Amino acid sequence: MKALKFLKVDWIRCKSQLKIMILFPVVAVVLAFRGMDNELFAITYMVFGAIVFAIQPFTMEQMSESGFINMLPGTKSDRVTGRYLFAFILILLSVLLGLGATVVYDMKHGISLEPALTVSCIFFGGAMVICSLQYILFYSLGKGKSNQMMAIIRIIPAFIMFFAGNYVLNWLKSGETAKLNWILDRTAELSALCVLVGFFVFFVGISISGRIIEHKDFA
Amino acid sequence: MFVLPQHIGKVERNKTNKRREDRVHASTFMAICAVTGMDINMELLEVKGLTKRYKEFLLDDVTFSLPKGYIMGYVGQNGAGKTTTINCINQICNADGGTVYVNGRRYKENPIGYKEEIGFIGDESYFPKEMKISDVRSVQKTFYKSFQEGAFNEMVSRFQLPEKRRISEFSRGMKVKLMFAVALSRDTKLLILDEATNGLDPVIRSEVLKILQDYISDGERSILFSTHMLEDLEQIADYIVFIDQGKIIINEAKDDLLESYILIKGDKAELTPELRSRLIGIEKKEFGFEALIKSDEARYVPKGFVINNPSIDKIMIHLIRNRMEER
Repeated sequence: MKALKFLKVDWIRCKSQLKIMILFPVVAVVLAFRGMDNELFAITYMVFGAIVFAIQPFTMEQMSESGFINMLPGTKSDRVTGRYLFAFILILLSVLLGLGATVVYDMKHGISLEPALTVSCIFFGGAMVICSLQYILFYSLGKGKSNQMMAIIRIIPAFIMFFAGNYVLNWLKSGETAKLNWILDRTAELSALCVLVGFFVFFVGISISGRIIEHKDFA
Repeated sequence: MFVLPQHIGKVERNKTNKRREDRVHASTFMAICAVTGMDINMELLEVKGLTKRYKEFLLDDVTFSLPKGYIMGYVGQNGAGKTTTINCINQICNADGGTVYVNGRRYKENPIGYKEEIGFIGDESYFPKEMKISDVRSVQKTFYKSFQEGAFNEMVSRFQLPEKRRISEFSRGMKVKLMFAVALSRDTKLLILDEATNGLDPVIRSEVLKILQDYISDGERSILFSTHMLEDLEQIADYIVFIDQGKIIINEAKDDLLESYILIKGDKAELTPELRSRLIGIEKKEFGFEALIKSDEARYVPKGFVINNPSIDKIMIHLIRNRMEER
């Protein structure tokens, strides 16, 4: 699997930045269980971090590197798939870490695990969709993109998902609505749908991105 | 083994003469193959009708081929199309037309095999700036079965490259050496150099030329060497391809090229109209002129003019001057 090899290249390149990711679970746990009094915040915060860091390989790449990265034996499609796998692994690890912390907290306090599992699935799917769309945008822009543009694409979707997600969670927690009951009756279906949509957009993203760079120079 | 710089010219000339003899043998062999119908691929690199269009530049129908065991100098002015050609061969850029075969393979037929055959050394460091040598080693190990870690480590140590510093902190010489270490520590058939020796000090350059000679010594590998350092090519190249404004102007064996022109100097007042019409790229000098003339037209040069064998450098300068006058 050449794509896995390209995933490794992205991992090697981003490792010093990814070390900062270690701080995220710490902050997530402290804020969720001490500051916000909302254990689900650990999951949303971790996913926020994953979306921000998943863009890292794009922010680091330079046109001058084409002689090295583009000369590695593999197709453009392998390179794109490797990059998407980088996002997938980052999102998966973040969700699992956030979920793990929440599950420990919930079990300790005798809270049902269902909301945590549902939120994890929704945020996993959401993050996959956002990262896939961001990647398509980055591949369309090419390597000569401006730093401001990159920062906007990187931060805004992550913040929207983070704040909107937390707003919805707080709204649901406040309860007393018919909508809440409707959602609570269908958590399994909702979770499955989010994950499926996430994977669908992810694979479509790989295909579109592959086509975008197929005829691009230095891509 | 290190060759002292003052001995290099002699060694290289001997090797070039040897390769010239080999070239004669090779063409005889190919003629036999053609007659007997034997299918044998002697060309390591074949570029046919390569075309690439940009807004203000056209790489126009570039065609040349490089046999196994030889070094080809790819020369031309800045912006002539050398790097574009190389980028198309390396598949970093998509050509609009034409085909490239590396060791008989087209990229579309076998993209992985195609890229494994090529070792590339660019005009600037292509390594991600944040990487260290250990990262480069790890990437090479991951991608290339033929990567020889021992050979890589030996070169890193011989070139005194710092293991723990980021590549962004390397000097230009160090970056070039690292590119060589990467390209030479695995089994490639074609080495492509894009202005790789520009800006290197004479000691490193002579070391690099020695490495290039060693690379092709088994007769199975070849080098495409794009450079402005024409004295380097004078020493080691077997073929010269000259590109100007996206078009191939010259594609000849170096020795044939050197023999096909002579350099003439003299007083401009003594130039007859007939001789003037045969001169190529007349350059005014303080005390006269300097120009090229084709060797087979040497009989038209009257006594009183100074005649010399031109260097590749001089041939290029006068040919470019001539083309500029024609435009």
